[in-house]
Amino acid sequence: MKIIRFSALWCMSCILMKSRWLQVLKTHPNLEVIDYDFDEHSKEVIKYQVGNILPVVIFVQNDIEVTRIIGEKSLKELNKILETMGL
Amino acid sequence: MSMAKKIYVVLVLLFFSLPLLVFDVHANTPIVIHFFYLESCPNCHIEELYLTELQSQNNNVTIVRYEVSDPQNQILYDQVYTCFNDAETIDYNLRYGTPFTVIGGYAFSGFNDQSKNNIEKMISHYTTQQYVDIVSKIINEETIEDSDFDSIELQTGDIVTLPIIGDISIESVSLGLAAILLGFVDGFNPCAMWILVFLITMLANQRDRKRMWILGSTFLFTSALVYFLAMTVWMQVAITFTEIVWIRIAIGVVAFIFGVYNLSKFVKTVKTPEIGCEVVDENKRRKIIDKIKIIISEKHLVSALIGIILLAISVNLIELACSAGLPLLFSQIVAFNHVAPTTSIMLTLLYVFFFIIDDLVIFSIAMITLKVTGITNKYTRFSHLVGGLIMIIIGFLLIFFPSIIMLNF
Repeated sequence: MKIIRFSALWCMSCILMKSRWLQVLKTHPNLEVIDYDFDEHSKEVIKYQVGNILPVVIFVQNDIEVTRIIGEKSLKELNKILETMGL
Repeated sequence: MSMAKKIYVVLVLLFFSLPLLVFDVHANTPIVIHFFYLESCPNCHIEELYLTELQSQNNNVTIVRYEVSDPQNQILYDQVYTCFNDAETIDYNLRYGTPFTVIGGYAFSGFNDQSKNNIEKMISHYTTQQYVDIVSKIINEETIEDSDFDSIELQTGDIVTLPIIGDISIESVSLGLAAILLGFVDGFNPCAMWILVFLITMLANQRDRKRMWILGSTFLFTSALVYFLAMTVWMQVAITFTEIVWIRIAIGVVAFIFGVYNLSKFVKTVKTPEIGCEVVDENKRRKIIDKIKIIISEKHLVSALIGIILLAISVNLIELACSAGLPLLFSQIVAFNHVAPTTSIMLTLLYVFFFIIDDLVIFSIAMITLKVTGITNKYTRFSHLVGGLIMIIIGFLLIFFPSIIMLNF
């Protein structure tokens, strides 16, 4: 399973979520992470149809989107989402 | 009338006149001021002079003096102080010490210009109304009721004594609180915050603390200066036109519209389940980002400094339109209150300080840790709600009840 993260340098929610994801990834080392900047990677933004709320995290398995998380989520919520996905 | 009826009438009369007996003082009866003092206390001497003069001018005023180095007076003082200090209905904000003054159901410690106002207010209040002399009740070991305590409502022209700041007029306190509240709410407006976050993220990535300090603080200082100047200019305009009714009403209408707009923004964000950064006006943002990148990559510090100042001026002038509602309304309120020029400058500085306080926090943390801390956007939506409600209320008052805007409460 890989996760594709869209964020922006000017976005405070993205900065906040980055530190939460850092904690989550410590307990889920098998997750492959690909980071895209909203302003730098326009092609990917269009490809993955990132909306107008950041950050966006897309879970992809075998090139198929499984689910996506939009905006701020607490650490508890993140863990719960991963748990329901069997991760 | 039978004897039984006569007794009944007398008992009824006695029952209803009970509250008027013993401690309840009728109008125009002597007003007793209980003055607890120490011979060695300089402030007590100042109050003593004032009370002596007051007594000579008011025939109905009697001063009862208690020198608290006398053990008996000390015991009484402790009882009186405890009684007022423990009052559940009113917080007298008393300090243990002398001078300590009690008039009827009101007590205060210390002595300043406001104390004179308070004494005169209580005298004129008790001259026309019944009151309970709490010290007499304590001396006679009677139970003190909650209703026995009195307080003074502050009015225009009154002076309050604040820690560190000292004596300050009540209007300035009200306006100061308005400056803090409106500035703080305005600070959560997300219009310009993203620029600071982007700037310090870029600076933090360079890991040059000195450069980060200089450029970051220059951006913040220039932003605050632009805001301050814009507010001051508006205040001058507002002062000039404050007496013209239709301009006041027009400003009220604009404030009302801004308020409704902010509330609609709040409703819109509430409907969106996701809390995050909203991507708006992409072209404008890209232009600003490109400018910041050029400035950051500038090798010469002076050139970067000039670039950052120009950037701060341009973005804040543009962004001012985004959050114009609250700063302009605040300037309008200050103009309405006809405060001294120095006071209006101080109030504007106070507003601007609280406006940039969240920026200062983010910048300071970034400076210390070399990491940019994210603040949740959860509260941004509430800034729309609170800001919107404030604008609607102020707009409504400007149109229909302008005297309330004078903050004469």
